[in-house]
Amino acid sequence: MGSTVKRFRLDNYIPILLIAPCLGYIFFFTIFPAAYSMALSLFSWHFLTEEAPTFVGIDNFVKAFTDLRFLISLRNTFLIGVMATSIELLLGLFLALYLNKNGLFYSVARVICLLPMMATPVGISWSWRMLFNERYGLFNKFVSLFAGKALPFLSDPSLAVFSIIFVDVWQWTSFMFLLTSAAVQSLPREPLEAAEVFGASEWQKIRYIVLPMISPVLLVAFLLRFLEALKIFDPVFVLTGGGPGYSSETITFYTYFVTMKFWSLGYASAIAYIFYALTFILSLMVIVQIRGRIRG
Amino acid sequence: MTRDEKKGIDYANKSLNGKSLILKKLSRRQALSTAGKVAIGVVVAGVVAGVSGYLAGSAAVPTTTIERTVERTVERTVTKTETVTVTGTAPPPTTVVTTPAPTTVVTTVVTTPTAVRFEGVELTVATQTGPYIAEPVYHWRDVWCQLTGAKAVNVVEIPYAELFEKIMLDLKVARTYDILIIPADWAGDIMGGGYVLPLDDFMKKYGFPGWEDVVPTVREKILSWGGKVYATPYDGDCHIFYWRKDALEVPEYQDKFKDQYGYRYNIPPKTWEEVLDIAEFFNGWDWDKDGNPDYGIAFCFRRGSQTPWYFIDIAAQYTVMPPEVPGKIDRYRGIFYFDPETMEALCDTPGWIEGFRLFREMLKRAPPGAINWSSGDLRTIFVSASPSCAMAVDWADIGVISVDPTISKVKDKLGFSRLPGAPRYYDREKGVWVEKFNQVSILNFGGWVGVISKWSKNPEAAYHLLTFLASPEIDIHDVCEGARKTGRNPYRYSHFTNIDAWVAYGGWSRESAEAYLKAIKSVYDDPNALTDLRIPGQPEYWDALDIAISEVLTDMRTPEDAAKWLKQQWEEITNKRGRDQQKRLYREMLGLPP
Repeated sequence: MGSTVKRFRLDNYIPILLIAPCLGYIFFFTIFPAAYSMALSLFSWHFLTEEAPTFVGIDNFVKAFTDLRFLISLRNTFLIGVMATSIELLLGLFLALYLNKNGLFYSVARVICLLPMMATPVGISWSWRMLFNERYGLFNKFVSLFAGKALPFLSDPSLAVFSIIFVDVWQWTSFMFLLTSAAVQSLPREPLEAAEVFGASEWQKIRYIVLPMISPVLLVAFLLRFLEALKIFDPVFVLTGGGPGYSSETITFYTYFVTMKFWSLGYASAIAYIFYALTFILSLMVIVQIRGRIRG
Repeated sequence: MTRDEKKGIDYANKSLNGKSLILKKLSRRQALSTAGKVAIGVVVAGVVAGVSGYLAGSAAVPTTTIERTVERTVERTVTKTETVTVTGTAPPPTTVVTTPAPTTVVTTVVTTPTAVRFEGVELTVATQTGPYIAEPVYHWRDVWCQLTGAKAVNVVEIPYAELFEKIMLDLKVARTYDILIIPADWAGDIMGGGYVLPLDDFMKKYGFPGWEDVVPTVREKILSWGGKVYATPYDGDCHIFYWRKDALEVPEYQDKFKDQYGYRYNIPPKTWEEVLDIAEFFNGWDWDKDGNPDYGIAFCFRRGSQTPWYFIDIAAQYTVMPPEVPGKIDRYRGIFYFDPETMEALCDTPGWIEGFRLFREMLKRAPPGAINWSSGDLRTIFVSASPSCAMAVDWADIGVISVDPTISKVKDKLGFSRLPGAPRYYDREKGVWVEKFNQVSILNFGGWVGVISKWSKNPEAAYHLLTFLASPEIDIHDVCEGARKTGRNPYRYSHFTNIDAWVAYGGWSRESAEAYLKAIKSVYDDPNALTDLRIPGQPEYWDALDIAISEVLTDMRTPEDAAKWLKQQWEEITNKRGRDQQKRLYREMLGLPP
């Protein structure tokens, strides 16, 4: 017979069945909300009113770039992201190199260095809020020995953002330490021993052997931490509440206000998408830059 | 030889199906299977235990007489027996309170009216994270369930910072809460938004225990919206002024002040400008002689906390023109936030600017770091005298905490009064300052109220529970017992007159209790008392105000610039929300015709 009858074979569908729950999860919890939020960004919708959403095109996006509060929060977000991540990477790397030795002291020190990362950001932020206290704060007492007086870390607009960066560095340097330490410890001994034979100094070994060999890990560590730092919320909420004024607000903090306090869901979606686009572009630039340097 | 060895127990060779437990090597399948069985066993056991416990608990219902015993220590010896009969169906018809001292045992015997039963009903109450405000619901829910045969009252505690959004999301989407205990200033969004049930029909059908006993200001300005009652009272709130008697009432200090400032201050201070002088005088030296520097005033200044309420305490005195007929407001008189004819924001008027200026000056007379104080910080610091501050402004909470021996160092050292006024106010109608003393009472925050979700499946039971919690026999305990951390403050006439209860339950001295209650009552008695902004968008207006205040305090903007910026923000919010709609609701809030 010339005609062929396609028979139902369960085997053909098993892979689809197996990945279906995963695809379903991604669709319902990632793709659909993202698409919904994209659509929402083109509407003006105040959630608490009974009025239907109104289509406003790109008005929400235009409004964002004329909204001083949004622009300041954007500036703060990237300032915190770049500064905190860079300092954390440098300190983490330094600690990883310094503590990469055998002995009880170094083992204990390595464990201690990891502790801040294990605490919750809210708890850490509350502790630092007390430590920064102008009257009772231990940290401020220490600072006043040098500065001659206690400093208004959380209430001075010029210090508030840097206090947030400080707390972020205090907590997340341990994350950088963890990654860089793993990279340093997994390096093969031979190139370092060869360098020693040729009389290379410690700095030369780090500069010409260690850093190039661990640079892919550094890139990943920087990117992971940078993307996390851009989403900073808890320390801002607890330490300064976005103040004084709105001088220390970040994008996530402002988005939270627009969404959950002002209920302007369309505008909040637009802000979130602008932030997403900027983060994406910036991350690509960082990757290209660092890759270029590694290859160069 | 160990005890087990003596007993001849060989654990290493103790067997299961003839194989050693320890030495036996399990396959992965066997291990998973065993673990699964164990897990299922645990879950089944838990479910059985839970259901059994639940059924056992249910079997105890109903009971018609409940005794609750609360132990506490009071200083005076009081023995008191009350029998109160409540009309209507709201419980309890009979309450017996016995309070012998010094170690007091209070026994409340509540006998149920058999007519009202809610067999098997389950209610869900949403409110802020306890103990404050949530605690009374936990405390009394079992009594209510036993009285009515209800199955359970579940309490959902939500941190205050997230309370509004969680409640709104529930009302809009999930619809799971029956009762909401919420701040009164959300009335615009929640009552005006039509999310909760008006209570007038319930009140006609079931009555309301002691309704006439609730002070009219609360009944009319807090519990009602658009002429209908939507809420039951739960907590009364207003700001009052506190001062340390061991500072302001010391003749030596009074003389020194007179030498320095050329006049003798009033006790309590009459105006905010006088407060500034007194605060400046007491700032930075050891007036309580404890070896540490002390300060002038304790205020709340932190952004994202309760600062706007404190700012309004000052700005309103310079802005709100007194009505010609008490309680009768019009376009110019009794108005603070917006012009009710045009909905134009008034926050750039001279009275507001003066408020910003004085508020900034107040910060200079407060302890270092006060810019980060929330009202919670302010209370603790003022009452624990660490550091000592000569004056403070707060809700009634400082008073309650001041008699708590575990924290207070100022018991019976405090004076209480309504807020100071202003020596002048701005006449917006004529555009001139009027040099005349003006004193505005403010119902800051307005307290917490109970409302019933329109989606509640058991609104009658919900109403019954709310009236039970608000009944005079129950709430007198909650209001007076500061040590129980109920967070409830007075709102009934009987709360102000029953001094014995304050002495017996709260540990107050009679003199202090009388002064404290007199100060609060003076605010409630004022027919011109100003309420919060209670229209939709209140959180947005409030946030902008909060930012403006913060910028003035940190010299990021001058008072004039901040006022201008704030007006622009408020106008934008009003336009976004619809000016006509906002104006209609604002007039409703003020009780003006549409």
